[in-house]
Amino acid sequence: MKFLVGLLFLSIQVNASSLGIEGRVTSAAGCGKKVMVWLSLDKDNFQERKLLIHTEVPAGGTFKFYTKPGAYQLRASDEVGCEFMQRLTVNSKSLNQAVKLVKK
Amino acid sequence: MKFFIPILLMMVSQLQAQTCREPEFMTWSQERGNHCAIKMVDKANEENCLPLIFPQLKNFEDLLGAKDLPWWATQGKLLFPNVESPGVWKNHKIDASFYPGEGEIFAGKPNIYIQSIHDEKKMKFRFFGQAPKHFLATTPMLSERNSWEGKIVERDKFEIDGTYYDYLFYDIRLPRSFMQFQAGVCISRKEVIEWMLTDLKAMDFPPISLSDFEEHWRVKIPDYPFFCIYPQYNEQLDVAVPVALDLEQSSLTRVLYVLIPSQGSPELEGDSQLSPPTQNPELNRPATKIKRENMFKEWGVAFLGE
Repeated sequence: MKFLVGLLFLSIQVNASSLGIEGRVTSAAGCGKKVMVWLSLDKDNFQERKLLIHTEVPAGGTFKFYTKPGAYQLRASDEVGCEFMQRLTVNSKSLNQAVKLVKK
Repeated sequence: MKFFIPILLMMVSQLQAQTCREPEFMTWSQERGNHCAIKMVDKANEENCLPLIFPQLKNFEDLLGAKDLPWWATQGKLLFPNVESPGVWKNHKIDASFYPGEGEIFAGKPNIYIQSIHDEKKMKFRFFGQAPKHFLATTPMLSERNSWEGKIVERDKFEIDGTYYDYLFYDIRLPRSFMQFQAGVCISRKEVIEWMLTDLKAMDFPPISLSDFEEHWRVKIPDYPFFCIYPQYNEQLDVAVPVALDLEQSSLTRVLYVLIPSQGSPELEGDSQLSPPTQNPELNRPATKIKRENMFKEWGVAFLGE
């Protein structure tokens, strides 16, 4: 029994740290080659919209943010003003989100 | 306005003279504690003194145009209130309640660069070990085997799944018990970046890694007058985050700077999170004199979380 509980615990530990949001970044014509992808709390109020983490991804590249379950804003921007924004809710499994930047 | 700014700076300088005579300023070192030192920078770059005297002048450098932010930081400041912190920040630490996983050390942006003699060479960079890995982010995504598998291209880039990357990136939480807190230095914020860059140069990190480091951490290190730096090299990181390079004639030089901020000089700080270091960190640097066909170099900066 102890062995089974141990196995279950190990399984939960490993799976818990793989939950998150992953995706591939693509850019429209005229957009930059390097993109900053931002993950923040899903808040409309600026002061509450805490930035959790961000990563630079080359156009065509992939990324993964590991998260707790919750509501998030996934944004992307580049040096020439192309943008992307999507609200996402992470529950029990990882989300795959295509990040397509367009000129605003 | 042109006349107003110099007059204000003169007023601030006179107030500062209450503690140290111009052109000196108050600083801290392990050997001498609090002491006055000659000011080596112009006033436009001075970021520690002005806010301490007049907190409302924190944006003074912006008025002067002295703080030249990279494009992403300028955009980030319009979107988020905390882009100039390494994460969600609370009580001088990362607020761990917003992040998954375990570990008191939040390793931000370990970047892995490559210097190779090969224009094209297959490679695999694999995280291994029994302990669960508490990643916070990776670029590119890891494979199911917790690895990046692709090619070294153009001698200094990676190609993964058809896309070129200047570096491989991960953020991770680590147990504090794997880190060392005896060897390090305590210095002013302004000196922190310079110290780390000098350390990286001593380990022959490639120029692009140095410019990336400077661009990122000039923005992301929070605004405190002092920091203690506790460098973790291969000796600590190979245990905390074991990796395997499936590539012959390779080496990996690793460093992670754990930064502990302090509002006052660390030796006087009553609520200091750690005792100041007692050993010279330079003695622990990994040797990098032997050249390999493929030399991987990894830098990162970490903060405590609670």
